Amino acid sequence: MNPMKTLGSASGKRLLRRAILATRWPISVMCRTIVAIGLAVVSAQIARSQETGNAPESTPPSGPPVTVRGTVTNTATGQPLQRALVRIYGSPERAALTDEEGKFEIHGIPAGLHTFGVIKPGFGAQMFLDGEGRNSAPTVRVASGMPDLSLSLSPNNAIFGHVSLSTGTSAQGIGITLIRKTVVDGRANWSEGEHHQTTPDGAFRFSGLADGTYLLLIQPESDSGFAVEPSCDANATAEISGYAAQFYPDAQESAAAARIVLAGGANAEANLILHPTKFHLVEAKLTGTPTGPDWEVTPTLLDRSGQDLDYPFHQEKNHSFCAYLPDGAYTLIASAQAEVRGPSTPGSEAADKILLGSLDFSVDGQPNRSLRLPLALGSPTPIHLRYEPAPPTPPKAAAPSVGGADKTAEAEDDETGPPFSLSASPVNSFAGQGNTDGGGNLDSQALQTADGAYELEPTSPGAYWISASAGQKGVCLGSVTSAGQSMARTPWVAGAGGAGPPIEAVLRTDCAKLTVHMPITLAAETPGEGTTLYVYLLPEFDSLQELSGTQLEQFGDREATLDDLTPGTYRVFAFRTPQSIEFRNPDALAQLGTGQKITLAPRADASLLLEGVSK
Amino acid sequence: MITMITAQNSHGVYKTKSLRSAAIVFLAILLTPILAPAQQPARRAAAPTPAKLYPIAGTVTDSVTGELLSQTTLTLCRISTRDMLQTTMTGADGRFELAPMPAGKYALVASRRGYITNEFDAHEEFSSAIVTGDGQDTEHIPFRLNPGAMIRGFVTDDAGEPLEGATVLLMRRTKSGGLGEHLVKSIQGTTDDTGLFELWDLVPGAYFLAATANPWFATHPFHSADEAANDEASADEAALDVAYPVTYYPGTTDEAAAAPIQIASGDRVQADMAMHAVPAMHITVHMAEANPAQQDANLRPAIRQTIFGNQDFPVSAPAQPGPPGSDLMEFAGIAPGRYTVEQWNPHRLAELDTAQSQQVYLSAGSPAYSVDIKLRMADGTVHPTPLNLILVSDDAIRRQISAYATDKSAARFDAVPPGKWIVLAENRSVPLAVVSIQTSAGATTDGRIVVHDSRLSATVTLAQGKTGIEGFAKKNGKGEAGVMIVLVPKDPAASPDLFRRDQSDSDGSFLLRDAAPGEYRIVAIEDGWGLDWARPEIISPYLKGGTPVTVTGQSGASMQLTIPVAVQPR
Repeated sequence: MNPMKTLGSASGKRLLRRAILATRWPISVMCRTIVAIGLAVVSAQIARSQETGNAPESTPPSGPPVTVRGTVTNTATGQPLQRALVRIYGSPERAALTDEEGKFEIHGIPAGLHTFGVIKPGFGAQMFLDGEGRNSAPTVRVASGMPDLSLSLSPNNAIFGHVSLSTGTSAQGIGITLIRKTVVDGRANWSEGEHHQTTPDGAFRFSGLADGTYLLLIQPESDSGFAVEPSCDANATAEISGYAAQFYPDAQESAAAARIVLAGGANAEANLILHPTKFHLVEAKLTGTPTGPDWEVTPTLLDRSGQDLDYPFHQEKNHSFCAYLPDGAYTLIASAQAEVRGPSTPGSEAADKILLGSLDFSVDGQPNRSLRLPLALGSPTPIHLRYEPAPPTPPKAAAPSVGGADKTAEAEDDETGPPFSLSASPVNSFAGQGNTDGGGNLDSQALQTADGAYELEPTSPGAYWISASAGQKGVCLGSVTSAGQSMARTPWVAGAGGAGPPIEAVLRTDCAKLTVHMPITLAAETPGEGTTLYVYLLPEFDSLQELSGTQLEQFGDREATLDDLTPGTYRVFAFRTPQSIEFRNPDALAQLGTGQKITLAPRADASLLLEGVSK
Repeated sequence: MITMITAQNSHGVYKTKSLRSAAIVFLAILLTPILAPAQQPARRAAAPTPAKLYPIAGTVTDSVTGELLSQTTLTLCRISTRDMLQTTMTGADGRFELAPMPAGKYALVASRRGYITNEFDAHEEFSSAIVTGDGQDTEHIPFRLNPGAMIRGFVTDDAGEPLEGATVLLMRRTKSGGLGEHLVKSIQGTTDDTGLFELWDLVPGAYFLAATANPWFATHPFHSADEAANDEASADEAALDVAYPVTYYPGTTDEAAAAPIQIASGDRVQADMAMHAVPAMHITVHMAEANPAQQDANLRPAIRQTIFGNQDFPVSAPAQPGPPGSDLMEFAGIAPGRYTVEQWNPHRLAELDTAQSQQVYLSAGSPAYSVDIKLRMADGTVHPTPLNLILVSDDAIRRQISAYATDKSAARFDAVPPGKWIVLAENRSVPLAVVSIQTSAGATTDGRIVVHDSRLSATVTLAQGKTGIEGFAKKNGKGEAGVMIVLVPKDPAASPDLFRRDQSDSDGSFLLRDAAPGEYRIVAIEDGWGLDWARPEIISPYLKGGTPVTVTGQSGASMQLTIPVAVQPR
């Protein structure tokens, strides 16, 4: 995995967490002060429970023990669920199994707030969310005379099936990759999930799947060991028989692949028959490799949708690549780095250099041994940052001072990453962030040079979506443009050498603040299960900022402040479960409804009472 | 030809993804190609006349049905380096034809979906090389490929619900290694959400199956003295404080009652198992006092389950230290069974059978003792490195403990359970001869040590086998392929370390590598692969018909047998 990659996605999570923390502190501190006057011993307990994050923060469990009763149901069928484990986290940690009628009873629970969990194999798959995934773990106010609890679990889905070969041969060792639709940075994305190989009976099974949309990619010749090894020998066989990679059921291109939509505990059967086809020997010679150091070349073969194909390569030392490929259209991407021999000298010319190139070609009924893939020296793209309005003294850019200064104010936030971040992700939804397996990940990141300037590292030629984050306190992201185009609407294009037109980013210093409050209807401290709301702010203007959001708890923080917001108009949505929102897809946004509109003026300190919960 | 598989640096082939299955790894190692070295053209230049070429062709059939197999990939490799030379595929008639090659020895590998990838006429780790040359028929190679066998089954819990995530261990009875018949780990699997496990690519033989799992709902509380739980609450807790004992096919928790599963090529065997939760136990470990200066002073002891003598199954049991100042560690959630408990600082090992005790003493009276070994070579040279010393329990289980020799020609086994142990030594998978062992009790030549109730020091004298014995196995005056060749030492019972084996190549030739000085008989047994050859009573009937040979320190690297070894029927 590219280590730089984690920075981009992690910063989004950090942002969300920081927004929550910023408002939680005053409330927690207030609570602690009140408790400390009454009972000093208990405040130590609170501090501990905050560290472990197990129990809710506001009040510790106290009072006479209560018997908690309730029912667990299957959300898909509404039927009671037997042998589900209901757990109470924290101290005392207690649990019970439900009976045949889905009923449970846990004795001797001290009155107060507790976190409950429900577990059963085959239920409760983790959703893959834009922000932080969260299992259903309701906070419950336990009190004598409390109502019976109604808890529920969602059944997991599965895809299973049989592959057979038209020749009647055993379909053992056929590689099958599950591809899942996810939302990455507000856009739909296809991410590689689990990979299986078929059993000698040709069987496969993917289980524990959350509701969602899936594709199956079948790669019979990927590392299966049953194929004829490619060779660049002059007398190598020009044509062999094999099974071409395809999407279920028989699509060459991802666009034509069957979407497998799973919900409510579905067991989808996906059987398919593979027919042998001719594979032709293809040889690509890299050109433009400078003499001098040895270059370590990484080739990646993609189909036209950007999906990494797993056909075995043979690599010759003279930088020829040979592979047997079926008819089709391909993109071969190569990057080369100087092989470091012995003790490396940091900053030495060869060590920093990267060569990039890509080649589109087709295989059409015959071998082709004359492909040329030109490599060009990679060059970065400059990023120009501008502050608006210009601050009297420009905010310090160096990362260490940010971490040092904030340490006392935000003890739990150990963020020391770069204050500004920007990344480019392929427009092609199969080649993006999710594909950490193999060479499919083509994301690139902004790096800070020694003199404090930013540049985007060279990447493979092609079109990219840009995302960015202001990062610093008191600064929010304004417009991001390149060649006069807003990067929120138009992709950025990298040419040969992996560079594109310079990127202009505006960082605003007149950011607004918004405090959101839980609806009045959810403000009561009634016994039983508490509500958690997940609040999202969707900008009505061009924005490359990650989604702003926060979380409100009926039995905890009923208000939260989001700061460093870019001034402008937003729509605010509150949900009972975390959502992954395609906020950069106008069609998906239209389906969300109107939400609550609010316009934030520059430097505004606004407040919003949520009117209700979105479906 | 010996196919001791040795890892080599991989050049030449680039794969975009890591290898994914054991079968592939096997093939990859077999086929690891090496770039043609620079000296090759020079060698060609030295031989100006073009070498005579010989055809390599044959058919591939299913070893069970005799059916001709199309779509089978054949790979020809150089025997010495395992360079991949060429690959081809069988046609619809099951026939293959490789490009003609100069006279020499080649390894031929076949692979096909649903079959076990193998070299020609493979038995255990041996196979027959294809020998091309004048008078050799290499145009009609009858390659019989074994269909892989499979064991599958559903594992269920007390409620009859599928048990997901159970670990299934498959052991196979083997006769290889010169240690007599014993069990080795074959493969390990995990059940899916339907409770199903499937273990495939199995070679024929007798197998034993065991399953381990933790009840998914189990919670294992620790109670401190000041925590008084009420009756209802403690009943809640007891219902969930359960564990699964290791369950052996066909459904017993008694290892001795486990039943073998006989597997033939291409078999599909269904082996369902039910696991039953029982109240979990607490185990109290009395630890030895740690040296606080060492980094790992705070590592808690590890508990491993012992299944068929295999100790690779760590138990993830919750643990809680005893009162401050005590040397106690309490483990909860332990199922009845046999365990090994290991402490790292100081290194201590103890065996535990919960039927007898729930207390483990690593502190004093530890039931395992250290064994210190000093090494010397019989010829006064420095021993080869790396040198791996292995203690094998001299019983039916054949438990193995190994340690590497230090550069001071010493090796230390920290914790050896009492009993009789066979001492073996090897350098890069090549065995060394154990000449004698000297302990305070005296010198022995039977290659064994006995651990009683105290630590043991021993001086082990080793000799390196450096002689390759080359010869021909012949039947009625004709070279016989695929025969098991055994180099049998004069005293077979005392010298498991001196045995060597090979399989004859297509022309009947064989090479017994790394033979140590000593007196031997070489026997060639047709279809001898099922024999428990290392047992004296099994091999002795063949000795009379064998060929005597004496290896001395002066024998050099290669001995050629002038007379062929007669092939004996089994």
